[in-house]
Amino acid sequence: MAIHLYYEEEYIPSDLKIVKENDKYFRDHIIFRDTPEVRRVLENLEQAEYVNEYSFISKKWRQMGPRPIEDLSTGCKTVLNIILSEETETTCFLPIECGKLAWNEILKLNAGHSLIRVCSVIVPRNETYDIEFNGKHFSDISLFVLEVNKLDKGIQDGEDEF
Amino acid sequence: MIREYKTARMNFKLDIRDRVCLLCSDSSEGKSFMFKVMLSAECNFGKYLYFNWENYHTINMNDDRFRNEEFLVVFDNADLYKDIVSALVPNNKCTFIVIVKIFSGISLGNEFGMYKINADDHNIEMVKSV
Repeated sequence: MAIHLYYEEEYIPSDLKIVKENDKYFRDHIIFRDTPEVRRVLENLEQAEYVNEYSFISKKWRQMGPRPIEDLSTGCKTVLNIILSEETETTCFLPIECGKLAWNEILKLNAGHSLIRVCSVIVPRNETYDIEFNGKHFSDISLFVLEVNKLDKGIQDGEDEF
Repeated sequence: MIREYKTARMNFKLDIRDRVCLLCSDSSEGKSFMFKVMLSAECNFGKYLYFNWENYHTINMNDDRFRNEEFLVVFDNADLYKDIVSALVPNNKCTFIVIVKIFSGISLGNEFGMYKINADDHNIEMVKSV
């Protein structure tokens, strides 16, 4: 298992279903379950806590009380789609509406499919990751970033940068 | 133009200084939350249109309200329909708020300003950043 990332949409294997509208997929396909991974994503992206299958509570705006899960941000729903979908091994969820924080949460996953996002990598360097990218496995985030940079510069394997 | 809306629990404020406001910010800052609350039935917010991932398919490019200076039109989740936004925004007269994650690939004309969200425990406001 690993999170499979693709450099551009054209590199997504043709047998994968592609989801662009993550809000719609979340509404139609996802059962919002209480798992440690879901709690971590809620905390990191929304500063929120799981309440039940239908609601969450924001720590920032606790006075608003429990809010429906449709109020979660699109970036958060994209990450939750990858975690909670029953089709996660056969579906690529495009991070079109992920900001920096949400896309960096995708880097921490260990299953599913998504795309590279042009933004800063802000995950801790000293943790172990489970990323498949460009036909290689990366557990070191620095090596993964180097690989992305090589592709950005059009450098092939075996070539030097200069 | 300043538009404010208060509920018992939260205050919302838009400080609009441009005909086109570009709001580029990260997840969970309260953008969609604020604009949905303003759309709610209890809000007497006047001439206001809100489009997002759910209803952007219904946008009528020839809708007269886009040519009406009194209307405020919000395009949320605009990364999904940048082509529609680019066709509408530069060529109309109403005030637009465009919410995107990545600005590239979108055309807003020459008269837009960059905006950001400021939020604390009881307030969410949109203010000009650049």
